[in-house]
Amino acid sequence: MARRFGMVLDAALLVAMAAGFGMIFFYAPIESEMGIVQKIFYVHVPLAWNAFLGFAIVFFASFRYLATRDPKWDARALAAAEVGVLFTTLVLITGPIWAKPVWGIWWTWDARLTLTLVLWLIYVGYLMLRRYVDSPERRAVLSAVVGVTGFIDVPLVYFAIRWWRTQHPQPVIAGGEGSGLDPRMASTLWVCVAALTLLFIALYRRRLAIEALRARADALREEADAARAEGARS
Amino acid sequence: MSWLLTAYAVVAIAVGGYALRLARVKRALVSEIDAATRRR
Repeated sequence: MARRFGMVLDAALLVAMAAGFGMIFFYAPIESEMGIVQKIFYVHVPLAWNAFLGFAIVFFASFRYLATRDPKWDARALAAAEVGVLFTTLVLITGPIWAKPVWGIWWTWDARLTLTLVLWLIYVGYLMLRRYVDSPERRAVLSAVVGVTGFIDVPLVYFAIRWWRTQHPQPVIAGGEGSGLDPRMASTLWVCVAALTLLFIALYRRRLAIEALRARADALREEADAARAEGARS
Repeated sequence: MSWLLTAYAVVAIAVGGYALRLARVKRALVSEIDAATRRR
């Protein structure tokens, strides 16, 4: 069943990716001021939204772990954090590649950019913490605390362009009066959001499957060690 | 155009690299589990 779902998901991902790229290059109009480089928007924004989705899963799963101490929630938080960090890394790379030809600079320390960098550092720290703590229970508890508290930066990143004056463009989706997108740009964006959400889910499921395999391998290793110790005693 | 293609190439390489790494780790774990199960 899970295998079949995975195949359907992968097929849907391929279709959505093909549709997204087709629309980016053959359907969405070229923006009048920025030119073709504006089309980075169609991956930059969905990557950011899906990174937020990943960190929301980390928050929820960490909270559930602290409440139940069930290792499955710890595994879910880890898988989501890893994919979320990958997507945030790509946001932090595609942003400057877009900024350089448009703003003339790679980076500026405005609220949106700085808070996004802080977000990346929080979840890289989360992944590093998991490497440094040996005890599985202690590791899960400490990382769940970071997973819950670190989420505070997500709404700050989202609202930064609404609360402060920033070099980063003002919101074009749900941005209030005066904001908005050409309908062809908007439909291309939503197809790309769907494609990258499917990509997020596909990577998340694969990462989670590895955690299940790792748990099984650890259990077999412990069983073998116990059998060896028993053999040495007798 | 080169900025756009650079951005898309970075995304493709990073995602592809990560997916390949996941596949490699999965393969290693599956063979470790198979070997341990056979030894039981």
